[in-house]
Amino acid sequence: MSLQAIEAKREVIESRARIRELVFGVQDGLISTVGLLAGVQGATENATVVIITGLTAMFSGAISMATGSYLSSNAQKEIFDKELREAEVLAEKEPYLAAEGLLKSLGQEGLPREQSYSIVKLLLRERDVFLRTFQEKVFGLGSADINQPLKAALVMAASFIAGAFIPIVPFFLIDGITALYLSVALSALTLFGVGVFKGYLAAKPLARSGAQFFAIAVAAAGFGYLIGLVVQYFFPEITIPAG
Amino acid sequence: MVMLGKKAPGFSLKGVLQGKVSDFSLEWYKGKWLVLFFYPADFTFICPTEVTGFSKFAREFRAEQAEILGVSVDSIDSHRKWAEELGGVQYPLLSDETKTVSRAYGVLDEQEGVCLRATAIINPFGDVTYLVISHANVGRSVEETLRVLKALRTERLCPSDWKPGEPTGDLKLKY
Repeated sequence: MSLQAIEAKREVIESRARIRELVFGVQDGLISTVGLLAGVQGATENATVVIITGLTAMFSGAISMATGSYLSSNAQKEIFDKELREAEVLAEKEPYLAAEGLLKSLGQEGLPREQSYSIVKLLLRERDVFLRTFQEKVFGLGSADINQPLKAALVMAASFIAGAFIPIVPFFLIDGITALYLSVALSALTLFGVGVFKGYLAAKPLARSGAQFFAIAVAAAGFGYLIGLVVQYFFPEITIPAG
Repeated sequence: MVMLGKKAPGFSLKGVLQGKVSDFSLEWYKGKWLVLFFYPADFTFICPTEVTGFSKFAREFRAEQAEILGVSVDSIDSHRKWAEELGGVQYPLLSDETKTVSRAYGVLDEQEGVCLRATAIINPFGDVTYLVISHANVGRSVEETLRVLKALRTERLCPSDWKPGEPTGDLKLKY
């Protein structure tokens, strides 16, 4: 592997950190939309209404999820940045403590103290390098680049839209309950596909990863359906308003 | 556990001085004052300030008929390299790898398995006349140790912050 390849690899790792938003967005877009479409189809049996409802839910859901992602990532980033600043102040004010802290961290990773001492002494000559190593090794604050709120929000929105649009597609093509069945089948297939994609990124068995995603998502949907049955059993007078 | 005014626990440890390894025993220091200082570890960042501090003042201690011994649980090889790293140390660094001496003096941090920052001054009769242990975060003052040694050698009552050359209190004076 060349040095350029290492640098490229780093960028790939950072971009793959967005897998969380991608999986979350696609899964949530799929499940929430297919559930909504099933309800609307059952209630109205009108493809236009189903499509308009689906598209509205898709865009509003994407905005909501992207906002939530941005705010949560930003909150995490702000706390992360604060910890970085505090670590910097600590290293400035208490250089002996910082040096001893880094020495201990290197020792805990299995490096003999004599060698750890040489490394820390060397690092102390370059303030910035020492500081970054101190922040990363002593406080575990090494992944700042991965936490990008805006990018996370955009990936979340795009993933949600992609996930939510798939179950709507059949209603553009065919009518009635067949469209719904196709919608559910496409959603299931997409969940499996997302699992396969995750397996590819993580270098895990593809079929197993796909099946795992599929099983968890379907189990979650089934559990939700079960809760609905339980509620209906205890409150039989409650009916879902149609339209 | 060391008790002030009681006999210091005897020891015989290997130590390094000017790159040479020898045995060092408490017995050999009878008739001299001995500053025995324990420190946590070689190749750290607070300890060298003390080790080199004592080294810089070694001549002043000798002028007071006192010898200095540094003790930690590190190996002889570690001490040798550490002394080289520090540009030479003017007194022996003893290796208490078995931790028996540190334990006998009550200055072993059992949890960390290293010595505490403890300093004992032993008089020419082998009695402990001064014992101080400070938190691992805080390095000791070598000049304070020297001041206490000089005060002890007057065999008189010395008031707080007494400095060599200043009048001491009368031996019979009761405060």
